[in-house]
Amino acid sequence: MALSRRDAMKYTGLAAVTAASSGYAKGNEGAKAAAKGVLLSPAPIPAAKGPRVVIVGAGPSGLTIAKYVKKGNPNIDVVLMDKRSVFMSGFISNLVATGVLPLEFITHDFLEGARNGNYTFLQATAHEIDRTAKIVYTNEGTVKYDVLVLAPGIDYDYSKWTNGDAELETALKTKFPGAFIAGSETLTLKSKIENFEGGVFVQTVPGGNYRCLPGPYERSCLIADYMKRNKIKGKVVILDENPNITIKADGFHSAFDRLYKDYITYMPSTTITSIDPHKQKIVTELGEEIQFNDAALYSRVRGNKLLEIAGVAKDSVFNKGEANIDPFTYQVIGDLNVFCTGDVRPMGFSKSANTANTEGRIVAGNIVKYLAGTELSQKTWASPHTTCYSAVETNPLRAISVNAGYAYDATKKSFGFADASTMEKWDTKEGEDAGKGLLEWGKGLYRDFFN
Amino acid sequence: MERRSFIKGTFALATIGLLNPILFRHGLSAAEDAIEIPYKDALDEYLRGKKVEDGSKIMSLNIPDAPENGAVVPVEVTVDYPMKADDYISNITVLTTKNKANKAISFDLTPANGMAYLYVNVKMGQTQDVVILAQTNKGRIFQSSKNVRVALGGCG
Amino acid sequence: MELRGVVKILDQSYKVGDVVKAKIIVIHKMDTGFTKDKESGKQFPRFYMKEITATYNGVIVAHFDLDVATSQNPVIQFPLKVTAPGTLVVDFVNSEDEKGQKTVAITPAG
Repeated sequence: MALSRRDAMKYTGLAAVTAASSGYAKGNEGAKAAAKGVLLSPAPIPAAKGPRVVIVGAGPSGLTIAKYVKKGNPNIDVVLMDKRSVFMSGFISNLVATGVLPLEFITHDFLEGARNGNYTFLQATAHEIDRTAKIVYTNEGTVKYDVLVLAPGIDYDYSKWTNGDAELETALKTKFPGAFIAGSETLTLKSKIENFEGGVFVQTVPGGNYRCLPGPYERSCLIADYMKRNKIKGKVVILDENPNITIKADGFHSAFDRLYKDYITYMPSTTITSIDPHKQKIVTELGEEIQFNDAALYSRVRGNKLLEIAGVAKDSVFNKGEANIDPFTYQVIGDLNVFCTGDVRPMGFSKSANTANTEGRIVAGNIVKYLAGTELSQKTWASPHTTCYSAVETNPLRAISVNAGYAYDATKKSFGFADASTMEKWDTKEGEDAGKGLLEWGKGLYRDFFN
Repeated sequence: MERRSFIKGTFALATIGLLNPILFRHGLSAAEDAIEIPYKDALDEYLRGKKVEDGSKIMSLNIPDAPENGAVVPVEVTVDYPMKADDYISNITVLTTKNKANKAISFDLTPANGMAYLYVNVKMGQTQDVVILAQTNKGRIFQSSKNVRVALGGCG
Repeated sequence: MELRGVVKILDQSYKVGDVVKAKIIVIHKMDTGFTKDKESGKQFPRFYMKEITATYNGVIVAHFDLDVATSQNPVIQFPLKVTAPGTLVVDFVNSEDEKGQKTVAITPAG
């Protein structure tokens, strides 16, 4: 599908004429031709003034890479695109959903990032990628690249629950979204909690390497805290597919026991075999039936489908459709000009903002080197860093935290943790400090993305 | 089988309790020491000096090369062997080779099972072999194994 | 002991003479005794589901000795030849000698 730029321009001209002369008379045909013209003509952004890096996805990974590629070499032309018009973070969203912080705290302006980072932000949805011609096709037109970074994040993978039943999937997504892709889902969750009058609230925890390991447990603590504070007769029932809490287990277990004994019921090793979103009933593999009043049903995750569109998807040992990349250079196997970063990486690192941010700085530096002619390899790899705070109580805000790096074990041929530590004593001064630390950590990330 | 019902306005959860007593050991003596079981010891204990035959032709193993989670590795084995009253597979045992304790499960069968089959989830701390031993009521022992690569999983 | 678990017959329908697959799931630790409590540094004691026996209309049809290389929350499937309607009774014993039981009805068609 490789049209030269000149041909594309010609086509546009032709389409414009067609539309003008016969658009109204022939109805749809003229509109279709005009639309195709738009899709094949360059997107309305400045012409590249140097080698161009195009980044699809302006989440923590994309935002970081855009800023740091530009910083690394101002002569590189950077285009960052996202289908959204507003940034909303997943991190800290549990505190917003439970009314502790306002929506503005997690809502940010892509344009601010572009102004401060000196790169071009294009609000557009990529729907096709031609890696031979090095063109990204969007609903705003085409964007040519020298280096492409795909950082599109996760998609939900409802297949285990729905077996491909699109009606059931839509009902689950609409009525009981998992709220791990920030945006409307966050607003839905916030509204559910604000309007919760009592009864059972189900929070599921999926298997696989799901986004934000502590997230569902933190949310359960905060919802229980909300019920306690507002004297609501309710219970959070956690249906966890995993055999135990997946991260900071001691800290969360002690919070469940000592703060929320009457509010949280934790059910590990729970595989859901059916969900009825209308009767609001869940049945588990053990034959248990759970009736719920409301829920956040967090399904397994997979790599964003854009990877399949680009022809770079590969099932990892953890999730479907993640990126087919060299784990040290992040370059697509067989296509060194395309990098995949962030939550789509197949390595078992934590899928979280801090990890994507620290990783993004490293990959940005490597992209600058690559454009200068350096060959990337295991030698140019450096470990991302995972730092993550989870609130367990409000008033005062108390949190637990984890800090970890990663290392490659050549004999085991796999990645493992390096220098991993946790602070799980939420009930001490350290826990209160961690609560303050949580806010500073979040603010620090927003600053790095947008300032 | 327990059946819990969650009814709006009432909380029939009292019977579950927050802590499943089985999940969190209570009142256990601190003297429950860990026991290392090297693979060789486990194998010798099983063979008791008998010879072992290559079972790869009659034992079909369904075990992933690289499971998502080393803590839960699905191990499925079917032994193509009659289950007649006088000649049948009487035991299927699953061992690992590089855990600290390398015994997973021992399954005693009779012709009442109709076929020689077992599925069990096995825990693996690192890349290693799963070894399946099948013994007949007359004392013939067959062996088959599979190498399993264990990767890092998530953040904990 | 209060046990969270189930035994079920995987085959939807079957008749006398068929070989069905029975599945046992039991929620239970399979602790090796080698892992430590992160906070206190104390070693978690060896604690695991030790023995499972399945009886079909009074006859033992499966016996398992488990050890700590079996995953936490053991999931086991084994075959069973259906001879008559009745009950499959599964008895559990753990390393502390605590006992539990789960059952499922065997209901051949026809």
